[in-house]
Amino acid sequence: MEFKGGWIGKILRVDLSKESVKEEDLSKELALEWIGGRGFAIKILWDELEPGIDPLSPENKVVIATGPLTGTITPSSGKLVVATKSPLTGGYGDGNIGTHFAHMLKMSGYDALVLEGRAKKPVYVYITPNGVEIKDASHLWGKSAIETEITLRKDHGKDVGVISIGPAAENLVKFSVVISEYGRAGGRPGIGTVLGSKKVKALVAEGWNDIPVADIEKAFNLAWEARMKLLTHPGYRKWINQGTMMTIEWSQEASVLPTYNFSEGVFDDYANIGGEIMEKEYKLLRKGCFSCPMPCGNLSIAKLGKFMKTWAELDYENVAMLGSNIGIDDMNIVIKLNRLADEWGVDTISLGNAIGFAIELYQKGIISQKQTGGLELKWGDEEVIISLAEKIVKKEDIGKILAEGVKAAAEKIGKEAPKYAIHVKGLEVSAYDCHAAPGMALSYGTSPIGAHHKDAWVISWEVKIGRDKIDKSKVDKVIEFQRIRGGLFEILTVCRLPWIELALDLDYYPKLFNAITGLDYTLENFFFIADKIYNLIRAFWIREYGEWKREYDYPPRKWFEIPLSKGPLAGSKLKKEAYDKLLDWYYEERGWDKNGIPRKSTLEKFGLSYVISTLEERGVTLSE
Amino acid sequence: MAKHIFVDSVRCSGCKICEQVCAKTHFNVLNVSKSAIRIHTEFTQDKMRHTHNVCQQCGPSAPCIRACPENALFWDEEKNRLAIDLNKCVGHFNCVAACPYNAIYRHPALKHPIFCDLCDGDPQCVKWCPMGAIRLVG
Repeated sequence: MEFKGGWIGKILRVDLSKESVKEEDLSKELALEWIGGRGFAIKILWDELEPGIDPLSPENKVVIATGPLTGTITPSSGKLVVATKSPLTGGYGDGNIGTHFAHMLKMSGYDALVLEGRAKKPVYVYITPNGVEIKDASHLWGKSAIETEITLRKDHGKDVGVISIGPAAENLVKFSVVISEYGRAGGRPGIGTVLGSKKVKALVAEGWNDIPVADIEKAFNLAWEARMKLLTHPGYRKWINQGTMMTIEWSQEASVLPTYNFSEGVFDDYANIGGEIMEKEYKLLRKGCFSCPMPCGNLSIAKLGKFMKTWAELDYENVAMLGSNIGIDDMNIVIKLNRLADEWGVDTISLGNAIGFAIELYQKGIISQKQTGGLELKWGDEEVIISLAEKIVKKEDIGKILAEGVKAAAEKIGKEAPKYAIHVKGLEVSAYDCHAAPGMALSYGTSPIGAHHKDAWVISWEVKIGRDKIDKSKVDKVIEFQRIRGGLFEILTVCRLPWIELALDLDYYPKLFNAITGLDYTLENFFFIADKIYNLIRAFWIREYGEWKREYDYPPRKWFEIPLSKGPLAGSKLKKEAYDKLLDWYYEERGWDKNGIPRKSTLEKFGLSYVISTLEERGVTLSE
Repeated sequence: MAKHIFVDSVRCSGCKICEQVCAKTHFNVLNVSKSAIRIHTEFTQDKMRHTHNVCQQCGPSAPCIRACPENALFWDEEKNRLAIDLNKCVGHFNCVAACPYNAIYRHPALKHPIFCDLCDGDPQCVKWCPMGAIRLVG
């Protein structure tokens, strides 16, 4: 179908086994009813994957999808979604990443890219409007993700868009990500790992085609208005100086800063790794995504000690997880750890989780020095922590077990270990401690990829309105945020931060969408699609697991069982009955049964009747 | 020195909004590869920086003007900037190679070179740059 604007109208399919590429029309249905990004990803994965496949087999596919607003003048629209069946969770996995690859892919002539099969030897895919080539990457295999991009930019030009994987993904570490531009990462649930299993070292796009737009005048006028609102917001200056790093101080204040493997919500030396000190002492340069008027990339440099002059891009999650969560109180070391993670192409959140988990087990005598390969694991000891991280990436000693993720590692280690594994559905929890935040715990519990804050980041709202409160408003807020952040922004494939951080009116998004595509959508239309996507993602998990239990939607055991011992909220822990009440309400609101399985009537309402028979064939009973 | 566009590399964040606005202003399209100002985010193992290329308005004896075999490129005295006579330009693109600032571009779909015309006094990149990194100087 011809689109007036926004979408290019083509999907690129790369079959790595057959070494062939194919161009397909983007169907009207996929565009109009699933929009882009996460919408494309779940629809393609549901339709095309055989149920129950091994995520690391050639049968798995990786979807890389832009959206209709990607690469347009829309503020902060330089993003794309990477998705696959996750080797870490066994369910649906996706992530978004700000990269120049996004607009370059569209300018090359494609809205999305599907990678299938498995290459015989390492390859990279080079995409331009003149054609698509599967090229030899033997010379890049084993190189860091960053060095790979540097080499490819030398070969193909300094303005090409590149996504690459590092040695962690090659070694099939289950929480490997894709990396772009010095440390932008995406795809926490092992999207990098699946690329590694397919022997795809990198993707390169260089485009020069126009991105079609229905009403260019209107689009630029709206973008100008939106830009002025952002630039005149009272929080703008601090935002571009610190970005998400200011959250370190906020989290400390609110007792939600993950500390010592999510044992505490406060960290004595938080100020040493906070936004204030980063801005004053470490930050050298701003890095913005394509089309972003409020750049949050904090390119920072280690100033002191043995890691002096090391560069890394810092944000809240990766600093908290490779800082307070493992007891590191020195920004120079945090920078080094982040740089290593980006070179290895391993997720900083899960890495910080796995390290914290191992240290806690060691301290409690659950694992021995023999198991760690001689390492005496201690909080904040950078030398052993770096050695442990290396062991994870190389899969040596205890690293081999930890590389499977903390859920699988805990099962393997046995004893009391599962109590200290901080994950939901196998995805390690990102950087908000929820001992005293049941609403945020619900958000982690019901996130469509496992414990991640991308969808319902309700923590700041919850702290404001009262964290002990257990009522339906918390469930409503989680669902509202899942619709906006997990739906609207993930399908238009633009950044949520202009809205959540600098209060850009949500109405700008349908307005920009309509100007760019020439269509007439309302926020309600997008929210309906968001709910449909949530149901199909839930169905995907159930199909792959062949069953569902409400326990899968529970937050980590530690938050229920071991209270905080420090800070103003010492003694707090989550209450099972309270969480169950929230979960019941959540299921009810979503139209799911008491086990979290969508009802037939719910699936029918969203036009997903085809899901019913598939789930029934897998032995799942659905309520009316 | 003639007025020209100056980009402050320390302020620049690499967002390429200037490129989008430039292409829109001159070609009415969304296509950064048709922009006359180019921002690059370059990095090596130890360093990252935002660099740029944009016409420095060298003057009547600019290398691009001298390189043009058709005399299509010329110095517009009235506007005090580089200009092109599209009737004369046949697309040798010698100017692209001649520019010491790598600030003249060839696009596969266009017959003529792309370079900065200062938007005839009201440069849109200056207006749109959110970081205030682009200025008209000289």
